[in-house]
Amino acid sequence: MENPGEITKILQAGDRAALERIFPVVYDELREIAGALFRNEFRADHTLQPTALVHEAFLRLAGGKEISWQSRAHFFGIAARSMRQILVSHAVAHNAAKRGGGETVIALDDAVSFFQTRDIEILALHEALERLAALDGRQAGIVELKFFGGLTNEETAEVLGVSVSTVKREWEMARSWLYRELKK
Amino acid sequence: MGDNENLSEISAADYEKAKKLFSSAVELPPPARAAFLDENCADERIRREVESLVAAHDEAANFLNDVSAVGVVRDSYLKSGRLIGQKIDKYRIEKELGRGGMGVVFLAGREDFRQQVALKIIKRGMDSDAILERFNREREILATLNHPYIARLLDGGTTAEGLPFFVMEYVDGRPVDEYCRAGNLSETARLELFRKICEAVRFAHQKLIVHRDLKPSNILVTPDGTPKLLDFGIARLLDAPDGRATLTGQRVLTPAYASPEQLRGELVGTPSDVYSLGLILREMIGISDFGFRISDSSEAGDGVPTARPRTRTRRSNGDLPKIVAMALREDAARRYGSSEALSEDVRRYLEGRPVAARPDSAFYRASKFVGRNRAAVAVSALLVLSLIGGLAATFWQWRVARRERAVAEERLDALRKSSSSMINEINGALIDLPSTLPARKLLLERAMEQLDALAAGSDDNPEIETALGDAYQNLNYLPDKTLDERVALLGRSLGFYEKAVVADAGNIKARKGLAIDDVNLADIARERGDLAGAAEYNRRAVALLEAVSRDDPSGVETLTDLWNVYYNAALTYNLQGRAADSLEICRRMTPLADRLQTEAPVDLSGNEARRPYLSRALAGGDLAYLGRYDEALTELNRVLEAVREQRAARPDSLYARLDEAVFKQRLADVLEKNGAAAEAVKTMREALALTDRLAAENSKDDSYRGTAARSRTLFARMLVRAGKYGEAIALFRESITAEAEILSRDAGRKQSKFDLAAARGGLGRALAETGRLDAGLAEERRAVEIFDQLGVRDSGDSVLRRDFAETAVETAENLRRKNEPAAAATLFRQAFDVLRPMREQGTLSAADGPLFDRAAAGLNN
Repeated sequence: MENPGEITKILQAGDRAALERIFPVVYDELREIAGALFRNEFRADHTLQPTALVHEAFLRLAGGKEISWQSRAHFFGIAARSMRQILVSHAVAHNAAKRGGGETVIALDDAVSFFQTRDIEILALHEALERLAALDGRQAGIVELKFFGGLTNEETAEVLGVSVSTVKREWEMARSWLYRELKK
Repeated sequence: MGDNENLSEISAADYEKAKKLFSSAVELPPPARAAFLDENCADERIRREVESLVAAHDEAANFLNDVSAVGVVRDSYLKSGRLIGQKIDKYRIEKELGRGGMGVVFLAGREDFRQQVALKIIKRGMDSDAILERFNREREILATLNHPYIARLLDGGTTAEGLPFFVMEYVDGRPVDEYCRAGNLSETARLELFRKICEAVRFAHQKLIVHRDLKPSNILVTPDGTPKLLDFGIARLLDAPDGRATLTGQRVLTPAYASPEQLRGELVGTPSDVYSLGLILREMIGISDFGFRISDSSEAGDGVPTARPRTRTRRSNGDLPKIVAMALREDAARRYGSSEALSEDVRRYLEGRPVAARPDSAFYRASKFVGRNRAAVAVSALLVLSLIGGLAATFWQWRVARRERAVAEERLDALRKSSSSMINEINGALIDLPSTLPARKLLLERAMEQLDALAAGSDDNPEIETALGDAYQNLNYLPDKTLDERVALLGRSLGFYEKAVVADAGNIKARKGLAIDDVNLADIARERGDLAGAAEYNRRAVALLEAVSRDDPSGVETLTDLWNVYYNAALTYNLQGRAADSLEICRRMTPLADRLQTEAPVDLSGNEARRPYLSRALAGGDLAYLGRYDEALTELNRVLEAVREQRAARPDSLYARLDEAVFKQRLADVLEKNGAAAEAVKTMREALALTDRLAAENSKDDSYRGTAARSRTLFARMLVRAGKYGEAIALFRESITAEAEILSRDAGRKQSKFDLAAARGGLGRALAETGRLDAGLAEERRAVEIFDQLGVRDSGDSVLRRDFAETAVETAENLRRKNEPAAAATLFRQAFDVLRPMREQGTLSAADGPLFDRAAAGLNN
């Protein structure tokens, strides 16, 4: 088990192998923050509380030390981005038939295979998403947060500072665009 | 590629244009799309892009929609066929037994003992350390769960991947629902089996362990008909330390068998298990959701007739549904009080005797819709129970395991931490929710009885006494307590702390407890308008904490408490107009704040960041009150400097921004009194701009609107004094509109009522000064009326009293101009009566001398 301070270092350095090991921890932490943010019950001071919650979660991940992430958007962004990187690097290894490793590695391989059965080539999707980013950065961001990061529409809207209906609209178009690209 | 590719590659700008068209077009039925595009899209390239994307959309169905990468990875993460044959700790995994919300269960073997066990890997990877820490802390208690119907928890640890796992006694059996269906059991046999399950739950509850996830798949029945409950105590290990199920924890529970309070994410106690037992009973005997027996054949298994036991004839057909319904009541307090009570009622039914279960009365059914408040009732009542449950656990532990003192102490400490964090968190959520429902009262009474019983057996043990002091103190924090109840609770708390201190004068915790009790009593006194009493309690708290901080010089926590107590004391003196006393306290606060800043630099995200300058701000106000304007200006300028530093460091801090506005107003007030009228107006205007911006950014929050309206009123009153009536009238009118709007949403907001009175009084004055005497008097009279409604004349708050007096004197002067001497005399008298004692006690501010003279002069004319 990594200690929390290490997690920050790993996330910041972008060390992929290390990211894979800590992924479950980071992911659950994120889900919990997201949950805390979007449930309203415990918001006594509703202007300050969400920020404080994120702050606390950051601290928890960082092992109590102040860290450089400025906003939760950045935080979710890092998580979604790292998920994408992890999967892409695995897809490369997967296609090269390099196998083996711990349970996490196996799980990632399984995920890559799962998507193949659904006609989603992670590598192709990744490349198409790069092209979409050049055309429309926000749509690419929405796909990254929703598909790779597993955020709901509401969470995505919160992170990007746009309305939920905007997220839905942009998502439908981005999805269609990517579908067309992958079918080419 | 080639042509096709080039055609579909459009610019970002064109893509942006395509967006609107795409969004509208996909909404339209396919035949209507061409016409829509004919009308709205002239550009051929964009049109082709839109058409192509719409076509892709139709074809894409759920592409990317129904799965997320993280979800898939997580799912496959636990697909663990590969674990078979591997070793986890000292256990070799043999086969998978099942999987659920919590994780995966394996059959495993311990080579050294040739023992078969069930090994459960917990799904989530987070917080593993905390789970294990709790496991280690609780394993002693879990080890006492030694009951023939409960599968024993044997071990725990983490896998190489960092996932927590638990090892349990392996039970070769079938889930109880399956067992009932397949076993052709008679009703009697089923109910007797159910009573055994209740017995196991009773046993665990007696050890203060709540299951929280009871469901058929957690209750296995061995071939010889013995039930075995699995996973006892595990749900609790997975919870957050404050006892509230975490989000992840909630995912763990099984919604179909969860109690209403669990689904709401509240604290759960034994009533939650009773609820789950009700669902299990319903399932075991085959009653539909609506309370009907589904059919008698369900009792006989697959249509095979069985001999009905003779006792059956005396059983009342409607009683079992009643029993189930009582266990399933939404309000936890109205269910059976324990699993034993439920089991007893089943026994009465089996014996053909009348059951205790009664249908819910219409009143209680109606109260299901009371909603929000009722939810709060359940939470706070459960909170009490869980506090007391925790205390009882401590106590029990202390008695049975006196030898294991170290363990008990550790647990006591954990209890104290968790109860105070619970209180803080829950209290924050409940503070505004009123309730007087009987259920809550009943629970509280029962809780108090339990506490009293514990207190009677405390054997003069200082630790237990301190814990009891804490418990009574915590009860006082519960919302909706009457002031009398709080005083009674605090009295008991004081009694226990005092006993503990008498036994051991060095008991820092109990001595601090005494001080905090006094702080609470001061709050209560202040709420009752007894400012003198509040001041006395605060004085005692200050003395106690100062002594503790001398004996325990390293205690940053004590110093923080001390600072807070100083702050309360200074505020009380302020309200009393005892500026000199307040100033004296402030002089102790400032160095303390500086010391805290170096010894325990605060987290800048909270209220604590204000500590270094709040005492100076208070001192500034006190100095001004005493007429020492130059010194006041020095303090306030230093405060504003500190606030500006804060703002520079944290531009988004609402505290810092509000503080800047409020302290500017204070500065402006002093500047005006010191003769710098122009600078005062300028400063006040700046403050108004700040509060207006805050209100605009937080437009949904009436407290910011209220602050902005108050700024406007303060500014306008200053303008009146400067003779600038026109601008003042406009500002007063804006304030009045805003305050009225706020009050229309929340009629109980006192601050807004005061501010409204101040604005109406000011407006009246300005109107009268500009020749509109009648309109002005009407406003002033309304202001006086509001002050009267609020009972300001009888309150101990010197600030409000002088505000009233000012309005009364101004109104009286105008009444005299209007030639209404009798009404004028009444108001002069009231103003004089309010101001005279203040003057005599020396609590009238230096600047209000002339106001007193006006009141006195009016009375004499």
